[in-house]
Amino acid sequence: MRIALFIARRIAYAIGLLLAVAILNFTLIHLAPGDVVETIVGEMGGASAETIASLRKTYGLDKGFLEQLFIYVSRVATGDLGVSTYFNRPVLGLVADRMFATVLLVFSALASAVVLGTFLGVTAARRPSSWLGAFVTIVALFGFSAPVFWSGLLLLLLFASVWPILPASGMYDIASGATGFAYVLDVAHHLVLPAGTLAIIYLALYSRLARASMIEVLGSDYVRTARAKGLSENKVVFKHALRNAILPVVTIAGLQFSGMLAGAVLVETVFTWPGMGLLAFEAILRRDTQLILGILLLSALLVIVGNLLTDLAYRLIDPRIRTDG
Amino acid sequence: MAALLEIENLKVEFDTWDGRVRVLDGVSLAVNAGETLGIVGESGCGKSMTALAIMGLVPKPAGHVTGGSVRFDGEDLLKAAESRLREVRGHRIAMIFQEPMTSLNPVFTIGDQIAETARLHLGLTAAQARSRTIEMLKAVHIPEAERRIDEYPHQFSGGMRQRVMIAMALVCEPQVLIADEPTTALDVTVQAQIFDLLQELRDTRGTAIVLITHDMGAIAEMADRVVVMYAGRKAEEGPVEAILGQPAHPYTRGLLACRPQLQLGKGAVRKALQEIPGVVPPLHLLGKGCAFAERCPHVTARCRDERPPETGAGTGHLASCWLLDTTSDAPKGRQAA
Repeated sequence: MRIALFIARRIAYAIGLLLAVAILNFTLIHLAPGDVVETIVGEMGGASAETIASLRKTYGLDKGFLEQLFIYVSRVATGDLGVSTYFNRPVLGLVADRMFATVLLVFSALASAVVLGTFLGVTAARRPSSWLGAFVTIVALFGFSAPVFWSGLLLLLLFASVWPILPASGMYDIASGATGFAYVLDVAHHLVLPAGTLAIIYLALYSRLARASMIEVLGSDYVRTARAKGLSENKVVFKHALRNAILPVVTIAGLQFSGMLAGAVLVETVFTWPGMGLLAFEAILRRDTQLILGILLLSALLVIVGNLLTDLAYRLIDPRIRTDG
Repeated sequence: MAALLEIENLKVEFDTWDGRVRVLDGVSLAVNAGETLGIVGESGCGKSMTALAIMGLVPKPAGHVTGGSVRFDGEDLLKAAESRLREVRGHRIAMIFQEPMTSLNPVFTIGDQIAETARLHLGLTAAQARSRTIEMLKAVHIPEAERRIDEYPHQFSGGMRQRVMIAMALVCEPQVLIADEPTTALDVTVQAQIFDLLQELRDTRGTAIVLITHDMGAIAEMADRVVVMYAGRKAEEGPVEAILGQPAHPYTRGLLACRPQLQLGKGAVRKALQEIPGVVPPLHLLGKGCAFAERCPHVTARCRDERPPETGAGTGHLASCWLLDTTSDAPKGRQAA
């Protein structure tokens, strides 16, 4: 199948790309001043030259740069991302735990922004001069202008303090010890505020994008054809027009997926959401080189997967992309 | 016998920056089953708007139908509910458009788009609609219909896409087919094929065709009767032989004179292409007289002051021109232009 070939080729590209990212990350970290030994020694309140030398040997920092790089890359190639010096746990397990939380947060935010934004945009496009059109424009302006940590704090004040219906922090209620479906509900409950905060910015963007795109599509010849067939207006809009109008939204959403991973750091900090952003923040503070490298590599993997999914969605929606496979 | 489709005194107005403009001003026409009516005129004369008004698709909110009637099979479509109009559209009255390249939805297969109409109006199952679609694709002479039914519009050429549009329009066997400049975007050879196809369908199915065009050649080939429009008004109407042979309105004569002549070989004189001087006036600046007055070679003071009534110029031949009025003013001569 053509689609399987497409995916296989993309996976081959991805492996090469990940290798390049690993080398680049390692080099950049090596170039930065300071290392994990200095941090440890700093926390110990100083140490003798022998202790420092033995620590450097323990962490393999006494070898030359190229040798270290070779050791690192060959370890990564076998799936071993090393051990976190601070948490004293394998990096892979540490990051994988947190990755789920981040992916859940980013995906929920992205999905709700795309769905709600498109719906708002389409509704506004059908009545360009109505109050709803003006409302969408104003909300878009507000959402896009407000910094995430500020709108996050406002939402936190409103829904966790003034009108306390949502939990203020964390991902689940530790005390309740819920399992199964109750656990899922608990996580969803905790997810509303952080995902909502992250979604606001993108909601604004997608509603504007969908509105502009829909207005253009509704004036197109094939929409006139659809009307001339005798289709109901809802069918014209949601079947014939929407699938064309949503293409720019899908493109932008895909591009922004990586940006959202970065935006998640702020939201995770405000809502103490146990995601990769928070972990990265700690890892950088502790000079936990292996952990930083692991997080960067897996983030790169997430971005690659996100782009692949975007391309697949695009091919699904627009047959014109499929022919030049 | 009343005609199948009869438009009487149709008026359509548009809200523009220059205020409200009347884009159709008292247009009347009729077409019978198995007949082809040609509507000719320059760009912006109201040809396409007439078609959209018949379909109830005048663009909203700017456009308004402000008067007249569109009687289809005895029923006034202007008074019909939107739900009733949807039953008529695509089923009893179908339309094909000028731009085959953009009139098909790029994200659905052509089979889906044709079958959609059949399922909507004829209540066919998916399988029935598919075989009906293949049948239609064969009827419009698309080769390998069984394979091409699952292809997307971008995999078809312009001429083939127009065939798909025609198949889509005819899938429910409509009584009236409105063809709005169906060949303007196509090569000359493809044009001839499309015209042959339309004629074949009219002859075998008895479909009434309203052919909208600015091409007098297309009119000569296809039409039984012709309506000439100018600036949202009907200038002249009559059998195709009369309109092409003895045009009564100076505008029609002008249009005919504008056709390029092919002359080759020895002694051929290369004549400059003729044109009608001036342009169609902006509709909000039309005076109270004849709309063509400013460009007419025979204009009189009366043409500028009074609107000419429809006057008989032969059997079934009408023209709105003071030149035909023999009662008050002496005829200024009907010399050929």
